[in-house]
Amino acid sequence: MTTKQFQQLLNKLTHLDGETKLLALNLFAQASPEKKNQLVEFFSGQNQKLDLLYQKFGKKVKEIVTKN
Amino acid sequence: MDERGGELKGLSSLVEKFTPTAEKLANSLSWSGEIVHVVDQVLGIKPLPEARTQRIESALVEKGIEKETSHQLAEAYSELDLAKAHLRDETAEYLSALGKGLFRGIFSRKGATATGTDFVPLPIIPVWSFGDLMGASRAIYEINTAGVKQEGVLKLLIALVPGVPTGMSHMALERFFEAIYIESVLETP
Repeated sequence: MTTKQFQQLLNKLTHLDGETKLLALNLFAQASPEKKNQLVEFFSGQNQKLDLLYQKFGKKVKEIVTKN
Repeated sequence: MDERGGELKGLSSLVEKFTPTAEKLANSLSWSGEIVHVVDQVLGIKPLPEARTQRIESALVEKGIEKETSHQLAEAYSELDLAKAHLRDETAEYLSALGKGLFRGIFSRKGATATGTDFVPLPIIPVWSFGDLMGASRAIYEINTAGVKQEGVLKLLIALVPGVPTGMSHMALERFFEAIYIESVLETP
């Protein structure tokens, strides 16, 4: 993954603040290939979890709105 | 790093000079530290998440949504918020495990006063403000309880200097110490 692609991944993580994302980006830019992979793995995981959270939230809202 | 070293040296010698006095003050006025600490805790316990959920619920009700529905929607949003905060914690832990964390939540302390009180003078001794009083009390509490006395002593010194906006100075100090800490974490291989 290129640094630009990693940045795009980070941009999806709306729950993180700018400083954290910048730190992660800098780490990635300086990291060895192996470390890069680890970073990608971790933040992809965050992305998946965030998606799941929003799915759950959307479902719950639908439930509430249709029930009442 | 040279610049930072210079600032540190200046601060260190100031702290050294003032520490005996600060400790005497902190000893004799420890009750004020305790009182303000309890007040802070009580105010702090007013849970921000709960207040926010309440606001969301009120806003929904205002928009014409039925109360029970609004309540459930607000709670669902609250859950989402909390879960996102946990994700943030995970990220912070991960980054710090890499030796390069920000530790913002853990390190930043509620030492700053509300800047507004900095401009309300004390009734009997108007040369100081309420902000100075709060700032001094919090500094005293820090000196008496915190493992790191340096910050407490400096904060007390600032609070005692009349005319210096204590709240803002304390916030600036905290940022300064935070920055030093971050630097030392970043430099850890």
